Amino acid sequence: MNYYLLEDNVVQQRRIQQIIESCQVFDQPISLLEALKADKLAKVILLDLEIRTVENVGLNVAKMIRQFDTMSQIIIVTTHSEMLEQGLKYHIGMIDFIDKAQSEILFTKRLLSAVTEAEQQIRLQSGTQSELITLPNGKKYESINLNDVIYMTSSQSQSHQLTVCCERKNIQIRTTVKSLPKLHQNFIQIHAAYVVNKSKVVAFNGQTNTVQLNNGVLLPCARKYLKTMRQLF
Amino acid sequence: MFQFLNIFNVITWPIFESVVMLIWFSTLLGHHRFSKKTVVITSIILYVINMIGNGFESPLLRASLASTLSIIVLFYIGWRQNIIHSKCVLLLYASVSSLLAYWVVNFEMTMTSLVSVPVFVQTSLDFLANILAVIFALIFRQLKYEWLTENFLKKHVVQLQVLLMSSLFLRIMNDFLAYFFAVEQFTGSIWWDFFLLSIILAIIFVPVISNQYELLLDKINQHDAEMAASQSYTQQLETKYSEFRFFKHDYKNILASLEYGIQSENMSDIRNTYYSVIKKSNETLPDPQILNLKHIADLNLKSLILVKHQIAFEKSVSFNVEINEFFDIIAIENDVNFHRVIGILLDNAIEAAEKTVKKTVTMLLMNCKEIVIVNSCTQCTDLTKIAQFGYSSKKNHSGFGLYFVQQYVNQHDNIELTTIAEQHHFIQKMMFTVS
Repeated sequence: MNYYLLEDNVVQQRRIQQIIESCQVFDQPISLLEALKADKLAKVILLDLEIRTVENVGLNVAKMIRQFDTMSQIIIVTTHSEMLEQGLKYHIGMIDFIDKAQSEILFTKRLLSAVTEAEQQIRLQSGTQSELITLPNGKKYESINLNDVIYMTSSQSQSHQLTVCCERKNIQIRTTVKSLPKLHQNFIQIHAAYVVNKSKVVAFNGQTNTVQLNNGVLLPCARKYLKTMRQLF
Repeated sequence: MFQFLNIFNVITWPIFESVVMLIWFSTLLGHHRFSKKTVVITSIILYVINMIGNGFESPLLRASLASTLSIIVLFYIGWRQNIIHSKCVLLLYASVSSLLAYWVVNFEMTMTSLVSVPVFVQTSLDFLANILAVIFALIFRQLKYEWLTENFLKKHVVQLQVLLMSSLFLRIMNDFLAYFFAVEQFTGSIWWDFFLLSIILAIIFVPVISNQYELLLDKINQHDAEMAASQSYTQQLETKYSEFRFFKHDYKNILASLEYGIQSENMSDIRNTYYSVIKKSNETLPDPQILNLKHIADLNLKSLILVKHQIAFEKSVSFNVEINEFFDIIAIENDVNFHRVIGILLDNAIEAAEKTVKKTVTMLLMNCKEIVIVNSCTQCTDLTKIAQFGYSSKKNHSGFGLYFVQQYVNQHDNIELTTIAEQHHFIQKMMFTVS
């Protein structure tokens, strides 16, 4: 695993290098970005938000990184702990936010745990092929990892409200069930109200016409779609 | 010629009655547009009902059957189309529109019966009255007045019941008078007609006026709440500022003693002083509780956030607003409903966060494009139900909030809402298309 650090303060550079020895240090955003582009593997990137007293440089760098690299994990190391924690998590998918102004022992502990989590995330991702899929949401779009999606259903009362059930979360967007199977070959419609992800189907019961998914949910299969389901399972 | 006019009148009369009734009904329902199919079918049914009603020999049946049945038909349509959820309100509107539909013709008949006119003139006057009734109904429809009384009537059950009772009483009275008119014991009275009209207008306008009055009161209360919130926020800022000044004072002292330590090259003194600085500054300096509202252009949004921050503060929920650029969306400025939507979302977030251990609500405003509200929650919510009318996870709540939000988003093309429920976070993400 490769580690990169963007930090302009020499003392802080040394401080972090003592904790993570194999860390490559940069004090210029441009050189960091070039190095990152050259390295195609997933990596752990540590960023300081404030470089040469210009605020939010780190944030812009993180955004630029995300444009060409979604696999790497970003950790923010900064003194600006007062704001934007949630925003950053949300915006650039950063994994942790570490305050420089804490005591040495706490700092080391936090940094190490953050790096461990980042490595774990990367390992998890590398096991599965991640493919981003763009779901229409009204006039906007919502990007989601194909491997996360288990099934999608429209709430009974309003046909344009669609709930996407993922591995660890549920998302509600505004679209129709009909439009989903066209998005990816893995999406199969089994009912007027249900579309399942093919790779998440565990079993198909031909007698009760129910489809079992990997999270234990049982969904009914309508007669119209029985033929395709029988062919697949 | 007279024969022809008479037959023509008999055939067209029910058409006018049913059309007028429908127009009034849709106006009262807040300019609801029925589909063409519904309009045609309803008109035919009402036509048949009126034809049959007028065809009876018995004066009692002739007087009461058609009007009662047409009220039932209107009620049924409104109920099937799910325009208004409250049945009482529907019944009120149906009976009022039936009263209004018959009023013009009744008035004309009273007038002609008081002044004896030739039969020929009377028949043409009947026809004219029907046309006038349509014109009145259409003119009223053109006014495009926002009624919005459904919610009001739902909240004031007693008032609704009184209005409903009086409208039904008027209907029954009218039927009786029509019966007496038919058996020629009653010749009609202008006073009664005017009394009827004023009562009908009262039934329509009393809720409208009191609704406006309540809205006005709400506005005043809202203003008071805003004032209180901003005052207490100022107080919080002042306390923070005085803490800060204390720290500044301490800080200078500490620096002075540091300098002394350095001059005397006493390492242990320096160490002690240094760590006390670190400790103190960690306690006092980083304070995420201060809202960063100077970037928000919309004053109403700003004060809304202040009020909600105050509520969260009272419930000891930590409420953060994260915003790093100027936030200004022209499309939603001065849109009361938008502020209501944000208010509902924040209320929900604060109430859900209150039950958790972490108790955090974070509001992100990003690049004039997105408002995100994240709150801590205890479990992964079932999203298939939340926006339904009448669903609520809270006790003693009507489940109206998210339904309103959903309706608002559906009505606005430039706003999209995404709801994400995770194990520990509940996220409402609102995206704007900036034209």
